[in-house]
Amino acid sequence: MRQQARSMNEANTDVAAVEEQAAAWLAREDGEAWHAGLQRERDAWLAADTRHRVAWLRLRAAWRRADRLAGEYVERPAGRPVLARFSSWRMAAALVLTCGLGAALAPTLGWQQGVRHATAIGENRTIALADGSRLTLNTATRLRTSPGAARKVWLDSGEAWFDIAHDPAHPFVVEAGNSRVTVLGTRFTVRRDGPSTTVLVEQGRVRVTGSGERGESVELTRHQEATASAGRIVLAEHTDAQLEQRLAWREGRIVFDGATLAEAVAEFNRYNERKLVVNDAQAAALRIGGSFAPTNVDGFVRLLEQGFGLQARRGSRDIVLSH
Amino acid sequence: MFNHLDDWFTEEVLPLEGILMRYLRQNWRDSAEWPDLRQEVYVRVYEAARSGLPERTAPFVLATARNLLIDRARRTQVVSIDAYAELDDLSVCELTPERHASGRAELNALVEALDSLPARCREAVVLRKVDGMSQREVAAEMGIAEDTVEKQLAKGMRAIAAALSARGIGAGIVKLERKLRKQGQ
Repeated sequence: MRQQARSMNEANTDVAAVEEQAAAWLAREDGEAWHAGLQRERDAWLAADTRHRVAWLRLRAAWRRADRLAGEYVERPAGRPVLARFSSWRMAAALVLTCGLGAALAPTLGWQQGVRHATAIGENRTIALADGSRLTLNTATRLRTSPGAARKVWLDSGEAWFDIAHDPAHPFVVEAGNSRVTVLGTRFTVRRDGPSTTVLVEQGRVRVTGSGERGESVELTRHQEATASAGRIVLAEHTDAQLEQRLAWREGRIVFDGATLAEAVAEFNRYNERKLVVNDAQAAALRIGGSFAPTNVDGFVRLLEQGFGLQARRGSRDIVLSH
Repeated sequence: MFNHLDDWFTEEVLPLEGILMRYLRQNWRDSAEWPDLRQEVYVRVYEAARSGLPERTAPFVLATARNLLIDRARRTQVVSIDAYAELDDLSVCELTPERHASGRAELNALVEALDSLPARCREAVVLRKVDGMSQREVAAEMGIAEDTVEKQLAKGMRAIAAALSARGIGAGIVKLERKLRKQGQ
C-alpha cells in the first residue's frame, strides 16, 4: 500500500494518468477497506496539485450522478431483438453445435461441411477455435472454418480480431478474398471493405500476401498496418493510442480522433440498419472526436445537432444530416 | 479538506462541461489536446476562484478557455493568432440547453453510458449503483476479488464521466430540478 500511495502522490501532468489516479482513489473510498490513514494520503494527493483536485471533483460528480440509476436500469438481454430476424444466425449457431459432434465423427463419416460464423449488423461475438485461438467478430461479418484445416479460416466479409494460439510448427492462415494472412501466434485484426483488406497487428509478427501477380508480401510487426487492394499493399504505422482506438470495437466502442464526419458516418453505418447520410460537403468535412457506442445512432445524431448545429431529417430507413 | 470552493466547482463549473467542450472543439483543431485543454481550464478556473468567486460562472469559464487557447496558439505558433479573432464571440444564449436538461434526459445519458461499458465493468457498476450492493457484495456476486471490483468501478467511473461530458457533469442536478420546479410554481 505504501508503494502504491507513493506512486499515486507523484504529480503527474498527463491528463489520462491523473484521471486514472483520481478514479483509483474514488473507487477505493467507495469500498469497505477505506480508513483514516488512506484518507490522509488521499487528501495529501489532492492538495499536491490542482490538477489532481479538479480531476477528482469531476469524477466524483459523475459517480454521484450515477446514483440516479438506482433501480432504473434494465440490462438489455444478451440476444438482441435484431437477431430474431436473422435466421442465418440461428443456423450458424446450430452448425456450431452440430460441428462439436461433427469434429468427433468426421473421420468416420467423411464430414466435409465447415462451420460458418455470421454476425448481424450491430452484433459483436467471440468464438473459440479448436486449436485454442480466439476470434471476435465485429458487425456484419461472415467467417468460415473447415474441418480439414484446423489452422485456417476464411473471412468473407466484415472484420475480425484474432488471438492466435502459438504453434510454430503450424502457421495460422486467414484467407481474405485475394489477400492471405499468415501467422504463428499473435494478435491482430483483419477487416474487409469491398476489394480491400486491412491487417492491423497488435502483437507478434504477421505476413500479408497480396493479390499481385508476383504474390508480393510484407511482414508486419506490432502497431503496423497493411492495406492490400488491387495488387498493391500500403503500409502504415500506429501509436499505442491509435491502436487502442482502432480496436475499441471489441469493447463495444468506436473511437474517432479528428475523423471527418463523412468517415465517422461510414463507420456508424457498418453497425446500423438505419443509415446516416451527409449530403452537404461542408458538414461532411467537420472533424469528429470522441468515443461512441456504435449502435447508438440517435445519441450520435443528437450530439451533432447540439454540438455542431447540424440539422437532422429522420426517416424510417435513414437520417439525413445537413447544415 | 473540502470547502465551499469544491462545492462551487462541482455545482457551478462542472455542469458547464458540455458548453466548454463544444467551445474547445469549435476553436481548437487538434482533438488529442481537448482533454488536456479541459483540465487546464479547470485548473485555472479553480485557482482563480481561490481569491474570490466570479460573479457569473459561465462567462468566466469561457473567457478562461479563450485566454488559454490564445496562450497555446502563441506558444506553439501552429495556428495564426488571427484565427482566434472570433473567439471573442462568447455567445451566452448557448448556455441554455444544459440548464434545461430534464431528469429523463439525464437518466438516458447514464443508461447510454452503461450500455457502452465492457460487460464485466458494466456488471460491476450495475450491481453497485443500480442494485445498491456494497463493493464486497459485488465481489461475492461476481465471484471476483474486491480489488478487481474496485478496478472495474474505477474504469466505469471514467467511462461515465466521458459519456456525461457532452451534457455537462455536475452534482447539482437535483438542486437544479428543484430550482426549475420552483420557477414553475
